[in-house]
Amino acid sequence: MNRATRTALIVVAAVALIFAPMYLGAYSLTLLGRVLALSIAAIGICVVWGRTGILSLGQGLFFGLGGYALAMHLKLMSTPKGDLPDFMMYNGVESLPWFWKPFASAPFALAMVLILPAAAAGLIAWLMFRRRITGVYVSIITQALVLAFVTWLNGSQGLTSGTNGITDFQTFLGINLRGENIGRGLYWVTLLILGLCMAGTALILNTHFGSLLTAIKDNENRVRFLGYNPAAYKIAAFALGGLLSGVSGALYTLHLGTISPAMIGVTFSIELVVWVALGGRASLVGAVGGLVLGNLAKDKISSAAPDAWLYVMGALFVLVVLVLPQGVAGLLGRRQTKNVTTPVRRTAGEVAVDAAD
Amino acid sequence: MDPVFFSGQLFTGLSVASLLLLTALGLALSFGLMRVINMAHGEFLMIGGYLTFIAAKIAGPTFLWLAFPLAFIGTALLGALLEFTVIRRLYGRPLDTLLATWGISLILQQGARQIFGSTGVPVTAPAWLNGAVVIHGGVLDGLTFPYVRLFVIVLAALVLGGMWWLLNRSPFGMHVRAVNQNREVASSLGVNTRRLDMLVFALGAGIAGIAGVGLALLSPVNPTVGAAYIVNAFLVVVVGGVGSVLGAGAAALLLGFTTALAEGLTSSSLAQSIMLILVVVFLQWKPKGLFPTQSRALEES
Amino acid sequence: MQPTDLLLEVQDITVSFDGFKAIQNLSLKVEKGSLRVLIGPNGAGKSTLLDTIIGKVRPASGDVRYLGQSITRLPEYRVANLGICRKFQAPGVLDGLSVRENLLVACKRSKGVFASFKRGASASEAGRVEELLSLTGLHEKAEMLASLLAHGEKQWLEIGMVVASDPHLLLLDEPTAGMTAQETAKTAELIRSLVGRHTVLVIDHDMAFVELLDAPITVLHQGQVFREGDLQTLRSDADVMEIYLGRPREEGGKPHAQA
Repeated sequence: MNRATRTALIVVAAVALIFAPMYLGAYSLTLLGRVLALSIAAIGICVVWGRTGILSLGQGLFFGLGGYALAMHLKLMSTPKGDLPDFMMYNGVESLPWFWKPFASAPFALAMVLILPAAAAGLIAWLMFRRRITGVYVSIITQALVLAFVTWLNGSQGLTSGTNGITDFQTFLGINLRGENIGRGLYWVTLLILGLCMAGTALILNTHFGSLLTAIKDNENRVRFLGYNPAAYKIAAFALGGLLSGVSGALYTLHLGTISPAMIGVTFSIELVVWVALGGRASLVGAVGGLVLGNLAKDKISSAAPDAWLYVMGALFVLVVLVLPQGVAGLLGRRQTKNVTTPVRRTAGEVAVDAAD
Repeated sequence: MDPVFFSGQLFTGLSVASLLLLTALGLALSFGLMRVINMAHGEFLMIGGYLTFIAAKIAGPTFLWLAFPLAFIGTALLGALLEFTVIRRLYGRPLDTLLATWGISLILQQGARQIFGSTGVPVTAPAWLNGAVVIHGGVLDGLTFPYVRLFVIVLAALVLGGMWWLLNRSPFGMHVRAVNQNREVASSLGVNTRRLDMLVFALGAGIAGIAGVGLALLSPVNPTVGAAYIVNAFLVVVVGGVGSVLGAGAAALLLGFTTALAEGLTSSSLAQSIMLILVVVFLQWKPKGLFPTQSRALEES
Repeated sequence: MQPTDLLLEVQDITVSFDGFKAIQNLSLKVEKGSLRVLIGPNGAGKSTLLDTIIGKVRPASGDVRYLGQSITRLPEYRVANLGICRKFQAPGVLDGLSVRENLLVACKRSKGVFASFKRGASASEAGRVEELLSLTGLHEKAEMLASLLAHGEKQWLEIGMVVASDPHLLLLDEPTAGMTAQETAKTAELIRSLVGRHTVLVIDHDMAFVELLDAPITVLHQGQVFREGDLQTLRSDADVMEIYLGRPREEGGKPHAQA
């Protein structure tokens, strides 16, 4: 979309969101806050997929790491001093596992919310991009990794509470999470963090770094032979994407009051990607908007007609890809993206060459 | 480790690998030929399973004569339809294909859920498959090989052999290999590449349908059974090397055994995680899989 | 030749793909500030030679030395940073960036991730970009997305990008592919203007273009250096004409100018 439309859209959306608590009921506000928290992950997908061309189907892994890092702290804060968290006692764990201990400290836990997902994403990216693994391979590997993580969580009842997930939080930073006006406060905090994440990412994408990500997506070899190491840029982009997913996961955990393997798995990860695709993968506003509106629609339709929802979503997947490859934002026309909105007809042979490269 | 238990795990691993192989064969074929990632491939397995269930309803205890053709033809036709309506419109956009086919898999799963319910439907294996080979005496005393699992292993071996023959010894296979090497040249030499794509895709779907018959014999069929197999099936393709039937076979065995052995040593969920991570580590060592397709044309940008 | 004048030395390299020897015991010396043209029939190993120089392909044996230092085992981006830059056969511009951004990305500067978190161009970069826009004649189209350029313009832009990093050695792989005669002439002029400040190695098939370049020629055949000399000498060389036209000497009539 052009500059004026985009600015107008952002201003209208920002005003509407800032004043939302004045005119929305409690249920709607909770829902909106939750979805806004989720949409921070969309920013990450926009960077990694929309700008750099790496389709990760494992964003749930980083989302989960952020979420669990915070949940561990919240759980310890909600457990009487000297006691073990309830699920450990049910599972016969006798002392607090070593990796739980430092999470008693709020600063440590908050630092981990940022560091764990970013470091995990950086490590995974390093392993993949150093060996020049690209395209669908990356998608398959990241999907396998999120599956591995979820499977491990499910199987480790005593350490992570398994399928039930970590739940039953009471306080955070001395604030009673069950207090009266907690919903409204959490909403504003979420909105603020979302705004910061969007602005920060927009700033980063406006530097040479952003141009190089686009360049790598278009022609990685050209960039390499200009003297850049594309792997380093891809690793940085992937780590940034992981970081944003982690922040999103932590906020989402706070909103829902729980985190469990079912919330972060393969289906969740791919759903995130599809909402971003619907909104417009290459545009920050498109990605966030797509995820927010998509999830609001999901809430409405799935409660009105639970059976129909999966058909609607499945059909959306297919239609977006067939009809709107650049999403709604692409439809509104962002720069002169003639080359991307009308994909050149290419033969599968050329594609085979690309994929093998 | 107790040798009986160890051998038992290996045998189970082999039968799991067999189903995995049948599922992955179709993926390896279509990925090799068209670079298409079909996320709905697991649903062909599921549909094959349900078609077996239907065959058992219709034909009674000797249903296998009906189940195989029904599952193969049913899923192959569905595959052809999918190729014609969606996949060929997305050539050149492998990542988009991945998303679109995932959408299709959601629709198919929900369809199955509404028709058959979300709990698994059991298929009783025919009487002649009930029973087991039991070893008496020696270190392996008491080791049992259930007929059903042996049947699935033989089935996979037969299909793998058939595929190998088809690809390496038949005119159809020659065309497939030609297109694999160089689509433009093959096309200019008179190979109808579009039709070939559809046939290969349908064939891959049909083989997954046959895997569905094997699956139904081993465990109840439910709407998400395809989703449970798809990630592993993709890993088989990646580990085996793109488009290599032999590689898919070797990788399926490797993955099946690794999982079964790890399961013997630790819990089943930890085993699954370890296996998935091992695959990622393996790709550090051989990024192009066990049997990479090497040619200069593929190297060029 | 003075040893100090030597920029690139390819020493006895052999490259094989699955047993097929694309290059066999090939040696080549390129002096500083020179222009050299590589010709040869399809499959002679021209592109593979460039691939080897830039580190995309590793030779089975032999060594590539640049300013006396072995670069055979360096990763591609490090080779590029030493001042060896290649233009590929197919136009390799960055479609999603503007012409100006394309040139800016290609400019000589620190290419690490952390150095990239800044906006705009430094004064020297901006000046260099202006210079290159003039050189390639793309001033008018500076803000246009590279994907919207015509084919010939893309080729020029890529030459501009390759020049932007101020490389010592420029490797140009068929820079005139798909160009009209007029565009070809302009490209030859552009390349000749680069010689001296840069060392240039050009691969091409088009004899008219090679003639315009007016430079020493190395003929490759079956992965080996077949002949070296100027166009005049090579044209009267029956063996060269034979490998080009693929006909036995006895039948060969008068050598053609356009191979």
